[in-house]
Amino acid sequence: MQIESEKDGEGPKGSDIARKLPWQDPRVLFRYKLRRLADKMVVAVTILAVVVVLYPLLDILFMFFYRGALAISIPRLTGLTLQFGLANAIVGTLLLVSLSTIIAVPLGVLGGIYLAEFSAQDQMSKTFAGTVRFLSDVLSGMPSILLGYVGFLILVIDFGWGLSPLAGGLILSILMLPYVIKTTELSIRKVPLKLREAATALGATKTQMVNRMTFPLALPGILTGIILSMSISIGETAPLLFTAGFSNYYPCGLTNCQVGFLTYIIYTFAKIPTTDSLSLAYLSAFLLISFSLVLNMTARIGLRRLSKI
Amino acid sequence: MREESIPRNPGPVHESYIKIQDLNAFYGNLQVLKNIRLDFQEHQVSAIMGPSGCGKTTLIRILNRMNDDVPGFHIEGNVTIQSLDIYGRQVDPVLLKMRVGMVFQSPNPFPFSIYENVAFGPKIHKLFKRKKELNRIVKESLQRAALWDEVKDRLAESAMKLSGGQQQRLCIARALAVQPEILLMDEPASALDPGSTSKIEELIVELKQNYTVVIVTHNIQQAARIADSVVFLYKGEVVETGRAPTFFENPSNPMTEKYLSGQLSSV
Ligand SMILES: Nc1ncnc2c1ncn2[C@@H]1O[C@H](COP(=O)(O)OP(=O)(O)OP(=O)(O)O)[C@@H](O)[C@H]1O
Ligand SMILES: [Mg+2]
Repeated sequence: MQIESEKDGEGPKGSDIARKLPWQDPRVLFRYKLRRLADKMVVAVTILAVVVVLYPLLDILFMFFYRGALAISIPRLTGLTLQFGLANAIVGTLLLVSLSTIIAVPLGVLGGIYLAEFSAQDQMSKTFAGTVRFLSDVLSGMPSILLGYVGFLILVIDFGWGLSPLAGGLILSILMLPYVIKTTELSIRKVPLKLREAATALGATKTQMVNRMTFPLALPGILTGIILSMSISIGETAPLLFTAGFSNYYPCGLTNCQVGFLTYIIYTFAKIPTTDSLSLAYLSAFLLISFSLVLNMTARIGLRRLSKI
Repeated sequence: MREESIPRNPGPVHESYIKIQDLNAFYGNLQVLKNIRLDFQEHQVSAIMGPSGCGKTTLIRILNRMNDDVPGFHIEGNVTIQSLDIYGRQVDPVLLKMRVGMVFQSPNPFPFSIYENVAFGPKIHKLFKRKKELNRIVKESLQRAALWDEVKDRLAESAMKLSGGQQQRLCIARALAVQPEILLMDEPASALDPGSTSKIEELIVELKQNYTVVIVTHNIQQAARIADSVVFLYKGEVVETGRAPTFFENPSNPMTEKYLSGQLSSV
């Protein structure tokens, strides 16, 4: 607008040379000072927000680490629940997470690869892919207890698996699936177009391109997604109450055999105000938080080490 | 503004090696190439010149069907290589790319080792039986791209550690390793220093014996040094074509003259 009015109207002024340059103009400098002040205020507010969020988080972490660490003892780590030990629950949690990972990873990774690489070929596959994405998003927003209930009706009762590691693992894998699909798709999409074009121009088929280039390059991101989804699945309680049950003993089979897990211990023993019970609950919390910290740190370090794009 | 056809080699008159007839190209509704009629001869270097945005990249990407996957892109008209309609139904676009190699406008090495970059093509096409043969292909390709001496001791290092000019020569080596018969090069020397540029130019001239080269360049001196024939493209249309020396010494079209003297800068 200004440029136009200058062109139409007064034209270049005679006093052009005498006019101050922007950096000499006190009004410009004053406005700059205001902006600088605004910058500082924004930084201060964000720092404050971070502290407000971080303080309780650190407090919680500290409490569990402190009390959990105090509760560490050989009998608690090696005994069964009956003897106020966690061994069966630790084994059960690892079993459930392993089962769910084994089921969710191949499905989720293949699904993510399909969505990222093979779904734009014609209108039908585009529609199909859009539907899959939508359902996957719906699934990731679904309350996990509902999934547990569905699992109870279908797997535990209809399929006759009973409360069991397989029923629990399968429900956990359904919870993991949207994350694995999404991170796989996003990591693969992040491989730049010019690298894809390079592979195509060398005569690579789509599958060769995925195998030899996009997948290896996306792998760190995919692994990160898998690890994070594992840490989500480790922390689940509600769906497992419906599908895994609980057992005071070591797992005895994949179906028709209830299985213990760590979150159940917290759920139950934190409500009983005796030293033994509370210690067990704190130790479980300590273990769960440690697992998930280790998983998260592995994911971060791994991503940084391996990432090439 | 009708183009004259490129004078042929002395000798038996034969059908042009690459023939483009009445080609129109569109990105969605935007027409970027209009009524292109061109011939490129076997074992020659053909240069495509013209201001930025005139459609040079689009034109050479049509020759190996690189634009097939670009959404909204479509062409009308006819492109043949040795009388084979490359957009015909019997042509497999993947196989076509083995035959027509490409070096892109900006270097795009894979973030793998230098060795793996060159080995990529031979590996996907299984062009070797023993590891030794692959080593030989990699070495020869790097030598031809004038990069071998600089990288022979660091083949296992990431290609991303190379300078821009080295990366571009690596991309040339990578394309050569598949042994195409036509090589399309989109401003291959735009990121190179004078030394590497002249190496690449020597390479291109040498490549002529085995390959047919179509090169996009902004550099008039470069085109004059290496091209056998030149096409001048303006706003998606062919303004003039000619043999290299005549084209530069006395262009017949005033527009070409303007371009060559640097007065025609953009679309
Ligand atoms: N993928 C695309 N989608 C839409 N329009 C495109 C696309 N690629 C190129 N174009 C348009 O097509 C026209 C020709 O582009 P092209 O890349 O072929 O030009 P060029 O001659 O190679 O230019 P330069 O010398 O700058 O590389 C331009 O107007 C450009 O905006
Ligand atoms: Mg271009």
